[in-house]
Amino acid sequence: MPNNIVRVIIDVDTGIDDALTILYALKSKEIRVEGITTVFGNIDVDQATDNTLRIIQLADPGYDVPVARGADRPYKRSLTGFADSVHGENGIGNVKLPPASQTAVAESAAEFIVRMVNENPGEIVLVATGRMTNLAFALKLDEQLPFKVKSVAIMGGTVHAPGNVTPVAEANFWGDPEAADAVMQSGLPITMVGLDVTMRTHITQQHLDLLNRFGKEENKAIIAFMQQSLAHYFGFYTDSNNYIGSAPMHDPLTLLVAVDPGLVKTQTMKVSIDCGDSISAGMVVADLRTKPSMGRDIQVCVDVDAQRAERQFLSVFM
Amino acid sequence: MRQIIIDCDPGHDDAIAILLALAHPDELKILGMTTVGGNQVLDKITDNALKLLSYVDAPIPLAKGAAGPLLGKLVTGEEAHGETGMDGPILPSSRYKPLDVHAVEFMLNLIRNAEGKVTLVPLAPLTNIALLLTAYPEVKDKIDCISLMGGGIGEGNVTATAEFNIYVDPEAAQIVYQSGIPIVMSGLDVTNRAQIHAVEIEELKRRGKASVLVGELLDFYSIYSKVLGYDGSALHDPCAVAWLLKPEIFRSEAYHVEVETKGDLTRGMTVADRRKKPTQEANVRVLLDVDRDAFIRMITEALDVLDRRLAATN
Repeated sequence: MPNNIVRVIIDVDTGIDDALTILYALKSKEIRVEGITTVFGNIDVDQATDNTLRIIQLADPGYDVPVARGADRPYKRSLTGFADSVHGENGIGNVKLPPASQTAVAESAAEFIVRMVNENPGEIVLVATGRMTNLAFALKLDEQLPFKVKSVAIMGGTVHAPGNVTPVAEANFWGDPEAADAVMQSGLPITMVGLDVTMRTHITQQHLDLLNRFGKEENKAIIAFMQQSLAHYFGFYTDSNNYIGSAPMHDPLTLLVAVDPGLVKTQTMKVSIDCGDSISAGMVVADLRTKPSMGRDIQVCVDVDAQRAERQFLSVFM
Repeated sequence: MRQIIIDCDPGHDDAIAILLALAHPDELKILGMTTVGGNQVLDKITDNALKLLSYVDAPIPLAKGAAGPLLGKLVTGEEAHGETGMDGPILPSSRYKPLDVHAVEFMLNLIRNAEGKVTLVPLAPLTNIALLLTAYPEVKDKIDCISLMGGGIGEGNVTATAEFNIYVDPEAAQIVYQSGIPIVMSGLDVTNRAQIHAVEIEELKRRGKASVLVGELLDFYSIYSKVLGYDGSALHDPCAVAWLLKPEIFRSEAYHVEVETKGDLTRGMTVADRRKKPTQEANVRVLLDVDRDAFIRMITEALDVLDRRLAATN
C-alpha cells in the first residue's frame, strides 16, 4: 500500500454526520478504511450497524470493509436514550436505503480494534465519532494500545463553546462519561475535535446544490442520499440553533483532521471528564490555570480553517 | 442613592472594595457590614474588617456571621491572603467592636427597617446570604439586587472550574443563585481582567494614608499573583462595588447559571447556559470584561478622596 495512504478504523453510531464521514472516507483516495466499528449513541447499536452496512453498499468502495458491532450501552452507567430528534428514527434522517448483502463480523468492535492495531503496529489511525465505549473496552483488552496506534481523533466534548445536550456537555461524552474519561486518561495520542471547531464547520444547502451540479455521475446516488438525510438534519439545527439550510460537520471534520492535522490549530491541555450525575456530567474539564494540576495532556482543537475543510469534504464527490 | 450591605472576609481585595464604597457616600449608603469565614477564619477576618474601618475613621456597624459553610469544613485562602487573612501592613487595634447580634439577624433588621430596597454586596462565601434568604424569605422583596464576587463561567482558581468563594460553600451559592433575586456576578471572567499593574501599585505607595495602605496590601497580594504569572494583581472584590458605581465600564451577558454542588471534578463551578436556545430563563448578569484603565482610575480617585478626607481630620 502506498505510504501516503492513511489507514483508518472508524468507530461510529451512524448517524447522519457519521454517514457523511463513512461516505467521504470510502470515496477518498488518500484513505484506506480498514474497518468500521459501531456503537450505540445516536441510535441503538443494531440500527447503527445496519445503517453502516447500507452506507458501505451505497458507497461501493471497491474493496472489503469489515464491520464489527460494538457496545449497546455505556461502559459503566445505564443507558439513557437516543437522539432521534436529531438524526431521525432510523438514525439517517428516515431515508430508506436498500438492505445490505454484507453482514457484521463475529468479533466485537473492541476485539476487532485490538487485533487490527496489533497486526499493524504504528499504522492505524483511530477515528471515533460516537460514544467512547468501544475504545474504553479496547483499552481494557490491551493496555498497551496507546503505544501501538498511529493517532486517535475523537469527535467529542467542548472547552470554550457551549455544550449541546447540556449547557456544558457534548452528546458523545455526556452519553458515556466514564468511557470518555478512561480514554482521555489512557495515554492514547488524542486529538479532540470538539464543538469548539465542529460548530464552525458547516455543510450547507449551497454545498449540496454544488454537488448536484458538479458531482460525478458515479456519486449521484450518494449525493441524493446526502440531500435527503441532511434535510432532516438542517431542520433540527433550525430548531436548536437558528441555522438556515446548514448543519455542523461534527464527524466529517474529525476524519478530515485525522488525515490532515493542518486544518486545525490545537492546544495541549490537561483534560479530564466529569463523571458525576448532575449538571456538569460529561463535561470536559480542561485545566487552563497557569499551574494546571488536573487531568492528562491531550491535543484540543481550538481553531479551524473551516472553508478549506468544507471544500476538502466536497472535493471527493466532484 | 443605593443602600448597601457588604458581606465580606477581608481579605486584601475585600479591603479595597470597602474603601471604594466608603469613598462614594453620595452614591452608596453602607447600612452595615457582615463577616463570614472564608479567606481566613471568622475571628481573624472580623478583626481585619474592624481594624480597616478604624484606620479610615468609618464607624460602620458590623456583625459577625457564619464561621463556616453550610456543609463540610471551611477551606481558607491562606495561600493568597496569608496567616492573618490580610497580611502585609500592620494595622493598629480597632477602636470598634462587632455588634452583639448575628449577621443574619443584623441584615434582617437593616432590610426590614430600610426605607426602600437594599442591595447586597457579598465578597465572600455566600453562607450568610443563604442563611438569611432561607430563614427569612420575605426579605427577598426588599432586595433589589445582589452584586457579588464569585464564580466564573470560563475559568476557576481553586480547581480548574471552581472559584474560591463558590467552592467554599457551593450549597449556599446555589440557594442564592436560585433565589429569584437579580444577581450581578463579578466572576473570574471579569476580575482576572481587572488587573492593577506593578507600576500603579508603586505609585499608590507615594500618596496619602489610604493609598499607601492599599499599596502595601497589594505588595503582599501580588506575591501570589506573581506565582500565577501576573505583573500586578487582580482586583477581584472591587469589581462588585465598581459595577454599582459605573456599570457602563463593564461588558456583560445575562445567562441562566446553576451552581454545581455535586460533580466529581466540578463541585463549586458556576455553570452558565450559553446555548442559543437555553432551557431556562436568565437569572444572572455575568460580567465578562471591564475597561481596565477606567476601573483603575476609579480606584485611584476613590483612594485620593479618602486620602484627602483623612488628611483633613487627622
